[in-house]
Amino acid sequence: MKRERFLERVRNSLKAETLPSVKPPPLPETPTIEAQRLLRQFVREARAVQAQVHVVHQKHAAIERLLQLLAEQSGREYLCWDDKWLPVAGMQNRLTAAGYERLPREISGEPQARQKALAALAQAGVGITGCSAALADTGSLVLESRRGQGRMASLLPPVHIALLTAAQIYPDMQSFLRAQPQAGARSSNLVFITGPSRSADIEQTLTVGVHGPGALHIVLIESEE
Amino acid sequence: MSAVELTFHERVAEAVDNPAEQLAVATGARAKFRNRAHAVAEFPAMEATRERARLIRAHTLSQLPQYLAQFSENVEARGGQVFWAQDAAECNRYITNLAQARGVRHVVKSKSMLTEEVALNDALQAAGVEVVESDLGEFILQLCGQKPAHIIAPVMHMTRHQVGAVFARELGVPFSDDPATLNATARSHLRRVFLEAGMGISGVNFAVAESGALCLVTNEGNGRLTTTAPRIHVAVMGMERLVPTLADLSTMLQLLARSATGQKLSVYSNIINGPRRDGECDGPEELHVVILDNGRSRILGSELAEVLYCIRCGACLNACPVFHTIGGHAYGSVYSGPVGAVLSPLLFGEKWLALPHASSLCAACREVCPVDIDLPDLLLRLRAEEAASGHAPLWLRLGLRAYAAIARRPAFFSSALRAGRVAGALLGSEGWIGRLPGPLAGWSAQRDFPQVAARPFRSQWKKRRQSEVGQ
Repeated sequence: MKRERFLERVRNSLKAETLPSVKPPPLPETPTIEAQRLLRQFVREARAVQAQVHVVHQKHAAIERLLQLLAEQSGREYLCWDDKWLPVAGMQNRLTAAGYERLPREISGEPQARQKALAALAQAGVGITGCSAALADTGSLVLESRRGQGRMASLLPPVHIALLTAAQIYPDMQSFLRAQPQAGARSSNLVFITGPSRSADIEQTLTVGVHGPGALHIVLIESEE
Repeated sequence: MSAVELTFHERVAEAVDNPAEQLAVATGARAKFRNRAHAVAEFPAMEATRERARLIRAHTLSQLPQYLAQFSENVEARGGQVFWAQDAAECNRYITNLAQARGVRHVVKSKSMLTEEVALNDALQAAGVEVVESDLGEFILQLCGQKPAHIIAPVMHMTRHQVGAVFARELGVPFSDDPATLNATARSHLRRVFLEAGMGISGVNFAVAESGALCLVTNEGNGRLTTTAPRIHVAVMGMERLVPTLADLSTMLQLLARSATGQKLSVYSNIINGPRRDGECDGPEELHVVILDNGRSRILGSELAEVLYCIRCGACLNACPVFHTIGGHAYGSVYSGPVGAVLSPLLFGEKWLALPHASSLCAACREVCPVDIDLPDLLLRLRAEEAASGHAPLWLRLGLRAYAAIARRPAFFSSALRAGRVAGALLGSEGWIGRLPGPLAGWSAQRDFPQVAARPFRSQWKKRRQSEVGQ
């Protein structure tokens, strides 16, 4: 009822026909870009927005690089997506064996329970995630939130480490949406992350890590083996 | 004293009397202007994208009822709730009642100009609900009780020393004027706020009709935390925020950050498809979307409907020489700069009709607008509206009528010129008049007025024609 009254008022306003209603033509196709060039463009753009990109050739090297990155952080607690959403198998076991502790990630229920869970999660020094895709033209990562893929892992800790494979890189947002049209709505949250959290509110001076992670590491795996 | 108690001219006088703030705003706006120019130069598809964006905005608004209906059905299908608010009071009442019904005592907010427009914080605080702004700039303003000076850079008018002093005074931390230190102070203070908040309130940059998605763009990540940590997320959007499809959204996102800050894409372009779903480990359990009219349908039916294309990037503020000189506060409205000078009288009524005069009509605003809004034309239309409605000051109306009477009669006109020449010779020297008499003194307070030429153009022209004919 309320909605109808609201829309009726809008309909009445439009009777004046002050606006043209030409439908925009369909978006032009993004030209295909050769894989190596795409990878180089992504690395260049991601670095331009202060992400730290670590290119490794194979999956086992990705775990080694990840362990090195973890060793550089203080604290042994981390947040992480479930193994099934990471491009490297057996991640949690490797990290547990190396003495790291994965924090529980469930935040739900009554306000007090939520608050306690959040406070516990806030102790994590590192969040580890996979990616749905990456965009070469802006150096962005594409993350979704579904079962086993929490939002907090890429948001709450001061350091975010994302694992990405070269095959996941698309030229731009348009080509990604065209290739994976279901990505727009299959998850409750789709986020394009372009570099670490930043602000230039104070005298246009760039600072990082305002609310989200101040450091973004991208471990980029070149080969599928 | 609140801004509306002063007249526009008094606020401008105050602003130009504050050189420190004036310098801060001009420096900040010019830096953003240069960043945009750089980003646009690096983006070959800029003009084509801009044209497409303009078509998308026009098409969406011309079919708005259909897209609003589609959007709301999709939000509801994903478990969100939609509330249709005709005005600010309805919007604030809904959110305040919701907070009270859910026992929420602490609310955290991410930056939203719309909530400034409806003064939501005041309404919540009056109902005993504590509200904390989480955008760094808005947080600073809230601590010192000020209003945003710029729609995307709220503390553009402040220096780092001032911010340091505010933090030391209000948060009890040691004084520092280092932006990184100030940033870290805000982060740790606001982390506690995020953990405590029972409700997060955000604005909406774009809403997607085909999927019911909300898109929120931030650099700091406060937009993501506000919509993830608290149990309830309330999103407040102007009814014109819609785009039909995700592909259209991607076009808008290509323009928004480039125009606003010169980034290719903001750090977090966050697309929300309803509350958390079964099996998810985090995210809000309730999502409420408030769709606000508050005068927008009236604008939609007017000759000035084009102003609703605006995507709030702030590029026209950064390009405007008047904004550089008087800053955002002098406008006195939530929306400043060229687009604010158009929006304010349309949304908030006649008492804002002085704002469209805050323009030299140089059209720099239109040149940088990502959706090519013809702002100079809209400003002129509002000035004409003011004149037609009799709101122009009496001296101006009488003066213009006298001018029209003289200018239409050649004999009167040349006598008036002669009189002007004599008066000018008495008042000034070397081509310039330093101080005009009587009611004209205001004009010459900041600049010189040229003397009338010894030989008027018309007689020069006549002589020239004669000599040409003679040859």
